[in-house]
Amino acid sequence: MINMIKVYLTLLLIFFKIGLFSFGGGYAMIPMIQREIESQGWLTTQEFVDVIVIAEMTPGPIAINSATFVGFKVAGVPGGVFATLGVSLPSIILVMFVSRFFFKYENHPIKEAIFYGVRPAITGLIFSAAITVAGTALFRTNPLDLVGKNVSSILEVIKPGSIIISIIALFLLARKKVHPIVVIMLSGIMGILLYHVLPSVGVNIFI
Amino acid sequence: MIEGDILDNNTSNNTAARNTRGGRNIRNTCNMHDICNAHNENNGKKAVSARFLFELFITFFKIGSFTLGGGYAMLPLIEREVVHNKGWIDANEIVDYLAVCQSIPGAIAINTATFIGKKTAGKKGAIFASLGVILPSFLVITITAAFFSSIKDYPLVKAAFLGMHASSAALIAMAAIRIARSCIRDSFGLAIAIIAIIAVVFLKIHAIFTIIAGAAAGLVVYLFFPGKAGKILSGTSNVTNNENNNE
Repeated sequence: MINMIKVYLTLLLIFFKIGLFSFGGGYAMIPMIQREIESQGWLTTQEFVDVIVIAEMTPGPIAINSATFVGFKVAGVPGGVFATLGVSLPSIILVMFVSRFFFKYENHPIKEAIFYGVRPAITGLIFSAAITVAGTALFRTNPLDLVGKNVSSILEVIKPGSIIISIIALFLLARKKVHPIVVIMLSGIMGILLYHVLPSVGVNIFI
Repeated sequence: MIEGDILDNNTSNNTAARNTRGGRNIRNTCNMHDICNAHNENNGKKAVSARFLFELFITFFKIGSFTLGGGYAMLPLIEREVVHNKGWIDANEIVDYLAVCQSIPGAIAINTATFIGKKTAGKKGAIFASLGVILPSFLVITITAAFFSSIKDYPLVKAAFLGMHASSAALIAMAAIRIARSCIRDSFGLAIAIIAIIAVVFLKIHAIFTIIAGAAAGLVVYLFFPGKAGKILSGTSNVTNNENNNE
């Protein structure tokens, strides 16, 4: 019992530390989580890779997903609760302070001047996120890594099924104004069709 | 600071002032009553309605449930739900919050949820919004970890996720285009955005440095090009003007 409590507290503290010192969100946390897990001897490398794959695949922020998963693997449901709390608390506490300051100077000319430069930068970051996600979701190998290399067929590079789904998604979003959640659900169904149903009857051209 | 002054007056005054100040917030016929309550709480004077907190929680629960990938993947949903459907904040504000949330430690998703919660309904709002965005993850992962030994053993699930990931690039790109419409106003902004894309995608520079560089560029314009700065500040939002009139 005492041992379990010690594990819960360790999980809380370690993920608190990870939440507090990682800039740039979930992806930035992965190396930190790995280092902590290794120093604690909690998971094997293979288990950790599984955790990250599932954290990236399932819905929800990667930071919370991986914290919950590691906590659960180490100490069951309470472990998941403590790890999740740990990774979330620094965010909540910091934002409480920062937002108070932010709202206080919300209409200050210097704030407006700063954000006049920051807003386009963030817009660029969002486009970058779209490019990065497209790079992994639509291509087998990141196209940026292929510069200067010989590619015999385009099918070696792209995932045809994913490209079709993304074009349909783009059409639904831009022309039909379909709600993003509906688009995500539809693309899940299309994924099942192109990557599971059709291959199982021998149609493999989309994989 | 202005809201504090207003609160010292009676409630009807408060409502009227919120109407002027938050013209854009109310624009989307969001529930007036809720918004007033929310902003009273913002100043720590009155309780925020439980119904509004529940709405905040549910909205972020929905957003958390369908965020695939990193913090920016929740943007299309925030844009649709919080900006477009509920009208709690406007597109420029969401970008400002994102900038701050990206610049402080922690998961961007939780930071952003907490920030929006704080803005719309004070401390309680911050807690409910962040709980909302955390809970779906927690539930999905706990169930996954408890029942699935490895997701690779479930080809159907894996196929569905492959499909969802394919559309998430399209979703983020669409959100980026909509955000660009309100955030890139001139060639200066366009240049910063393009430099940011090159820096992050090709040169692998950490996002935080592009934000700092953007802030520095904005400050330089403000300090050394007063003519340009005057234009920026007058063109930022009519809300600023309203606020000044109130004063």
